[in-house]
Amino acid sequence: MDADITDPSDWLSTPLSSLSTLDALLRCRICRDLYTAPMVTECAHSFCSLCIRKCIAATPASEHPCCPICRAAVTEVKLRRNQVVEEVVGWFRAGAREGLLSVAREGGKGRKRARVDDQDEKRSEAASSAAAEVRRSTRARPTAYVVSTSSSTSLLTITSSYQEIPPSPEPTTDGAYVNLDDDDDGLVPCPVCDKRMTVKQVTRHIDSCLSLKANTSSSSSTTPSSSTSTKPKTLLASSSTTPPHQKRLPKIQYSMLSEPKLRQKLQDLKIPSHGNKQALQARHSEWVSIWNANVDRSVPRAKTQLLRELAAWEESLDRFPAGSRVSAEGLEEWGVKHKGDFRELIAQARRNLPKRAEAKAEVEGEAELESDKAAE
Amino acid sequence: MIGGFTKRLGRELNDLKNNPAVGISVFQANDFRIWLIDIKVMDDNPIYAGKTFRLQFRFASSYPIEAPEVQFVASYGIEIPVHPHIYSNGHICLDVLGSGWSPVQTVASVAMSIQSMLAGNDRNERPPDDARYVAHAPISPKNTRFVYHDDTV
Ligand SMILES: [Zn+2]
Ligand SMILES: [Zn+2]
Ligand SMILES: [Zn+2]
Repeated sequence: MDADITDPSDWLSTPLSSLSTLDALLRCRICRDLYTAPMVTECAHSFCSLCIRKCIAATPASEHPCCPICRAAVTEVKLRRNQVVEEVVGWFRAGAREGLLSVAREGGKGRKRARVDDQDEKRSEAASSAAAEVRRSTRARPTAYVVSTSSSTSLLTITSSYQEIPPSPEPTTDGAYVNLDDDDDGLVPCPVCDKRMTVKQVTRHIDSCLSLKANTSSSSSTTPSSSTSTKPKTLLASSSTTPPHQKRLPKIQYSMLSEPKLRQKLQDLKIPSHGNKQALQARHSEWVSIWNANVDRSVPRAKTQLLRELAAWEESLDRFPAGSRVSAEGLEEWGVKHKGDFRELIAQARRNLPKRAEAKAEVEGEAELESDKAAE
Repeated sequence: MIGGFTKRLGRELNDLKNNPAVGISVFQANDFRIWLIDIKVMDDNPIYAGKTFRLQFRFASSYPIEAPEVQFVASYGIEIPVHPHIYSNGHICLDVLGSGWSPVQTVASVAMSIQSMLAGNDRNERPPDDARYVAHAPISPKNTRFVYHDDTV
């Protein structure tokens, strides 16, 4: 059940074990996933929009919501988007992570040309078997990873300010440097498309290659390569096809509303409106979180996708109820009985959707559903 | 974070198995409903020396936004540890399991809090209201409104 969950520890068995730190820094501390629509709090901590909104929604009315990390007071309307983190995560998730990881794993296998000096070998015995061929320069030149495989050598300049990132918990491979001079053709493969080119070219090429890949896989009618600005196309691609629901939903004082009035609110929002007041309240609150978190995405998803998310939430509520007050069988029956509600609403929302927006959102949605399945 | 809580628990389980904290081990985790975690008190506190205790974690779909339900369970050869904040039915009076919970806490961090709560204890006794509490306690410790004792025990 745990094979396909990406995790910072994925890097530890590779020569690029230090990247587990970067990987961990790009994850929300609540869901442990790469950030989705990261929001920064007043205390400067970041969480996925949905995670922090759910957290705030779950705070008892008698208490002030607080930051899950430092417990400073948090006010929902003061959450701000963390744009740069979102862009970095978008780049990382769109293929860079996978590409780098596969390069790293390759590097871990072929270690023919490793040059290891004695001192270093002593220091990192545990890591040496897997990581011998990768050495990080700690000298004045830009920080670089060198990965030798039997057929090729690729150099990935990660960042020149690498040293600021705290060291990984694994024995590291600090200290030594492997020269590139024993290269056969001087060319290296792009970690994404495998095309061979010079080291200089590859650093520039990766960005365009990644956004190209993202665009073709989403099969949406996005602007072609004309807009090769510094902005990642993966994030801006469908600003023209964004569904027109950009307004946040207000919170409700549930204690002030009668059950019929609350039910009417759910009907107005075109979400399922069955169940008692407690069920209505929980569903409405969840929907407000899902909806508002969606507004925080640079590429909001279609309502069909949000309805599916609500349905998934309701299903997990049935499968993993809090406490043991209701019998499991009863809940399952209830779930089956009302599943039709969601199906009908999703179909409805789909019919109402502009065609192009739907194409985009569907592809996104599917990718996400797949990663969910993989997680289970 | 769709499917978020099972995904997160999957990661936590990997962590518990691959980088376990000293004295903390997974006894059973077959699904995302109930896990059994064994803990040992590592310093030579004579009250708990040589003993293994078993914690039961129950998760709802609201995890980690809401705290898991955590208590000690007895089993063959495994007792409920004696401690002024641990009732003989296994319920634990610890703020991290209630009002002190935060979604960045984990199964491992909770187990470590409980481990250190045991390690720091030098009173071989149950809470003063043990008999009364156990007679009327709700099935789930989460339905108890504990008044947290101060932590200096
Ligand atoms: Zn999150
Ligand atoms: Zn904070
Ligand atoms: Zn390429």
